[in-house]
Amino acid sequence: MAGTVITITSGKGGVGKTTTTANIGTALALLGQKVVVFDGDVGLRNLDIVMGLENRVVYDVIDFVEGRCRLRQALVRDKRAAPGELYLLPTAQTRDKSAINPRQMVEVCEELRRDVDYILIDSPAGIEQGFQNALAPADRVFVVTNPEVSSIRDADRVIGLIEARGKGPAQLIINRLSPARVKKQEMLSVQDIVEVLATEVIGIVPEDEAILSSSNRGVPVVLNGKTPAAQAFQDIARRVLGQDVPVVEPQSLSWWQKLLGIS
Amino acid sequence: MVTIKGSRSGVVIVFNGSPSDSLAAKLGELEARLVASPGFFRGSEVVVDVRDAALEAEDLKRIVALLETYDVRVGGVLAQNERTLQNALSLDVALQPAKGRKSLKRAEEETPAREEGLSVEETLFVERRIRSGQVLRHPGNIVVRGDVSPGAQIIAGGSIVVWGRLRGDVHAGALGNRAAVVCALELSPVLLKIADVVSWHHRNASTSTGKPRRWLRELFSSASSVSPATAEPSIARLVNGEIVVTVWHCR
Repeated sequence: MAGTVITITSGKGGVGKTTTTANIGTALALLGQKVVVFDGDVGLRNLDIVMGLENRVVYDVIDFVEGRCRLRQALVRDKRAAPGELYLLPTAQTRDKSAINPRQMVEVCEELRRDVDYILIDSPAGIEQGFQNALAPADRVFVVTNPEVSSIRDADRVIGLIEARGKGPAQLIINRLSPARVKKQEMLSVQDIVEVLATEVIGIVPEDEAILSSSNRGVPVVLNGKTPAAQAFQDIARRVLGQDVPVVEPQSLSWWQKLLGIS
Repeated sequence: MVTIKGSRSGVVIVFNGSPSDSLAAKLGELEARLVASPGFFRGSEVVVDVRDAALEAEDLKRIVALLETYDVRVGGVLAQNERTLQNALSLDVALQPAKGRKSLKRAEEETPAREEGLSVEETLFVERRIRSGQVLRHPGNIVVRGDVSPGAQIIAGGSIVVWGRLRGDVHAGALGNRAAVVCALELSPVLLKIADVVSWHHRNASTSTGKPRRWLRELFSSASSVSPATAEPSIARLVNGEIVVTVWHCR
């Protein structure tokens, strides 16, 4: 078995890379896959918190590359995501991006890939070494963007860098879309974004109040299933597995649909 | 004595002329070029081709220092003279003769024989989308088949033709050619320059619909809207020292 490495990046910070990584990883495990979510943000680690595994981290990937533990010892098992298997590979909070280089990232992923189906790397923001590290082992790259001009500009830059490194074509996740605000023409639509970025969309995640509390509690929304964002992440996971799930732009509900509870 | 050429690997500055020309004279001419066309050179990386000139390490350092004064990085030095080559090799990382030699080879493959004067007749044809942060720089004309995103830059010694939406920064005639033009199927650059004339905000005035898409187009809107840009095929040129945009109509 040779697993697939998917790097999740964005250029701009705060667009939802970590939440996206945690949820797609968890959703893939819920679909029966063996998955590692790998925190690529040395020195500013967050993935352990969003996954709710913060207090189970003993060793991290830097301990492994510096020879203080075996790779298996650094993996933290998340038992909530049955029937598949889900592991977190945490990074060091006390170090910086120079603690690991692209070659070591590739080596870590080569070792992981022998035993798992998917490795999802949560890239740091920016286009510097942390991003280069996260990109080096990637087979596929997902670029997360918000329906907002500055986020789209950065996504365009990052998509260009991904192409230049021969890692393209990247695929796009549009996060935090608010159908009601698109309808009121206060927010860029999916069509506007695609016109600028000319990149295949692999998922559209609507704005969802459940995300904030789920991130704070360390329970990815896909674990308790039915919110709009959870469904969007589950759809992305199915598309990753090659299932034919059409990408549709979420529509805002009219007052009578809300009244009747139709979704 | 100093020629600016384009190659697939970027801009090449060639020091030619007779061996009797002093280095000071060549540097003087290079500096005049740099002063005349700051918009073309600023922030660029060039290859310096010194031909068969015999230059000491000190001479090479002077060339590099002069270029750095004008914010131009030297990516490599090409030399046919063995002593000059050794001197280039002995210098620090700013000079990468190996890379330079490779560039020379490629440059010669793609720009055969014709070497005198500015090679503005050569056109760089690029068939891809130019994304934010990407820069195309060429002493001749540039043709792009694809969109040019906001945040991208195209700098040409000659004219710029975009078969697509032009929304980035463009500078035509960047080596001083005031007859250069900019054409695009949709001409809405953030910044448009021809030679030394700047025009901000070439936005499509007719798309003021209040739709969010307008944010993209008017993101950099400034008070002085010089001339309306259009979503129709258009051409920008200099008329009496001002940039004028005209829509191209198919009859």
